[in-house]
Amino acid sequence: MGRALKRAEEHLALAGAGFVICATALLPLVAVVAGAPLSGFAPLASASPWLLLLRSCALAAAVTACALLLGVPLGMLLGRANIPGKRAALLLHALPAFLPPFLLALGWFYLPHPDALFSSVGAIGVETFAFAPIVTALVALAVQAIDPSMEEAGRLSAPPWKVAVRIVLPVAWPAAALGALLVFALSLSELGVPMFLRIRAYPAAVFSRLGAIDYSPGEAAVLAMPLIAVALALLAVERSIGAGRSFAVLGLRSEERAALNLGRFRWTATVICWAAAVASVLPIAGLARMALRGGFAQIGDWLGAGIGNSVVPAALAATLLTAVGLILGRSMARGRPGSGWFDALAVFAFVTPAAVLGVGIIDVWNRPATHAVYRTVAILVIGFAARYAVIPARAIAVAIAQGSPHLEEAAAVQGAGFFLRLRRIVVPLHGRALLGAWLLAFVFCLRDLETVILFYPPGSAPLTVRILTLEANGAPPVVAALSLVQCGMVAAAIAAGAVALAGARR
Amino acid sequence: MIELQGVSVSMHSHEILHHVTFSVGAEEVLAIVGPSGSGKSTLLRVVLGFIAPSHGSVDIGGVRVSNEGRVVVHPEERHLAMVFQDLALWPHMTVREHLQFAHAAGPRTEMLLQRVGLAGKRDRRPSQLSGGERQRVALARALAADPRALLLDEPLSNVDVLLRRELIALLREVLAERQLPVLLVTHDLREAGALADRVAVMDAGRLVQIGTIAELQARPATRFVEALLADRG
Repeated sequence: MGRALKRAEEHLALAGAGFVICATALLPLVAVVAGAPLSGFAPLASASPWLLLLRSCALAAAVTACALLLGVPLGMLLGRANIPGKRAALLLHALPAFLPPFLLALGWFYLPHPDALFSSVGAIGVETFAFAPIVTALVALAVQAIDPSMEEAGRLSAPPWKVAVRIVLPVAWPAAALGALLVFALSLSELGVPMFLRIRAYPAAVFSRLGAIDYSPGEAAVLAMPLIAVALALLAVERSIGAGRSFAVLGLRSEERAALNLGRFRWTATVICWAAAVASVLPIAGLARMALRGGFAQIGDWLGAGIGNSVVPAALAATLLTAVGLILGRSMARGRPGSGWFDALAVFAFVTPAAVLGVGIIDVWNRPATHAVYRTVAILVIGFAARYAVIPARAIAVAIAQGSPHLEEAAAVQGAGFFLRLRRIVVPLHGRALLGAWLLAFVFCLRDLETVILFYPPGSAPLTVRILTLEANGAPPVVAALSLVQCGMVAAAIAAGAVALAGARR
Repeated sequence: MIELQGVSVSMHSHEILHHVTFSVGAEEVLAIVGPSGSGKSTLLRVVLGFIAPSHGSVDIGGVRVSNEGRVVVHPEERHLAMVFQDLALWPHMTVREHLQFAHAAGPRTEMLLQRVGLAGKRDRRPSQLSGGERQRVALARALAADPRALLLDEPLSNVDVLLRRELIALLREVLAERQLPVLLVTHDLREAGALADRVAVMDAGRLVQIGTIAELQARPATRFVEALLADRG
């Protein structure tokens, strides 16, 4: 019995991780699909929701195209070229990706701005700077991971620019495509920016059926159906991008090599990179400018429990997700049967617009029997776990895939069971990756608005929700000051993580 | 002709190459032999122009291409070619595109493909080829640019015995046809004996001895060379 249990440990662990993903993500999605027909498809009978969906998809496609135009060259330059201060430039450029995009819209609003800010063009601009860092970071990692000899083989017969265009870019292209997919999904899911800039967007139409005067949860479920179809299409694209690629190939090689010498173009490229980096953080300067008009003096009256309401569920969810990610990520890295399905489900939940998950989570958990969960911070943890499980799982899978499976196998032949190997081999070897995965999950939960705005319990509004609701009627300096608190929380988390990661490296 | 004069390379205050001096004649094959970490691959990268020597100089065809911490002539202007240890084939390019990237055009591409036995595989990508076919693509790409010298970095380290025999035969034929200066890096003295005119033995970044196999056997300069020859059997 004992031996049988020991042999089954790995399967049981994967089943446990899968259970968490199914309970948090699959159940709500099934509830949306199963519940919609009961309400009838009348809300989708007219042309207007379809036109709105088309408009939202077009907006997301435009943001994606702009993010690629900005992110691919920046990723290549900041990843491989001899740009002075490229790490600092990348950090500045990446910071907005860890902030709720509507805070950036607020920041631009507080700066001198054209009227076009309150238009589709304005929304595209704001979201481009919010999401382009995802493309930049993925391309930068990909070009750093390319086998140096591939570049050198090209350099024997071609100048650096030709090697960059003909060899580095095509090899890094799957990373850019994955970035484009993420940007499209996040942009389509975005609620705060369209609401603030008064742009009509499909997820806002779903949201209005749940949180406004035209309250109708049945209609919300029906309206969510086309978004599920879009998410399925995104999942299919993601699968085709990743098909046949091992996590090791996608991963992070730290091999040292000389930066690509841009020659006489170096200073032009440096100016472009730094201009993009500074433009990325300009909205934060806009927030600071407004907050300094007395916002900090009143902040105590408005902050309430906002910080705690953000940090506690984010930390709990990040811990749960890292544990799930450790089991699932390791299984994915080692190609264990079943792990691909759970990974696909986690990807599906991430690319599904948050409004759909929100509708499903309300349907599943807003029942008398589960009020003990629904009316507490636990529902926020469930919401975060549903949406962001893929992030730590993929990060951990990449890290584990870089190491040899023989390290674990050596322990297995000594008689160590799965959990012992996990505790004594995998966790100590990949401590930094686990810390990084936790931090990534924590920051994504911290920046979330569109998932939790649909079901946050009374008195437990995270700071992002508090800022959005206050923005409509509150004093701008206070809203700006609260926004800076949000920025400060994210910056503190990243800084603490960086210090901890540096310590773990030593 | 390739000529290295007092080449030293230091990285992170660690000396990887120490005062290496040798030359490779116009039609000569020189094998650089030594254990892992002896500086063989660094030496190739200095010749290619990817690393500047901290001290010393490199001349190719009578032209000074690197000198005292400076790369004077960039890699793409040196007209060298190399077969990389991991082959470094580009996964998104077909066999023909590999050759075209290296400046082989039209009939020349076809001729090279015929020469290495890949005429029927011109539109395949590396993932669609066998291990031996990939080795041939790497060799064809190296020859495509009509280089002034050929560098081979452990070209047979990852192949089985049968394929090794086949590739040694192909390399011998190609080297006899081209009559180029060739630098062959290997840790296997048998491989060096099969392909090279002379052998340079390296240990811990230093050139320990240079000569024909017979000369090395007759007068091994150090115990390390003796041990290396004994291992060869």
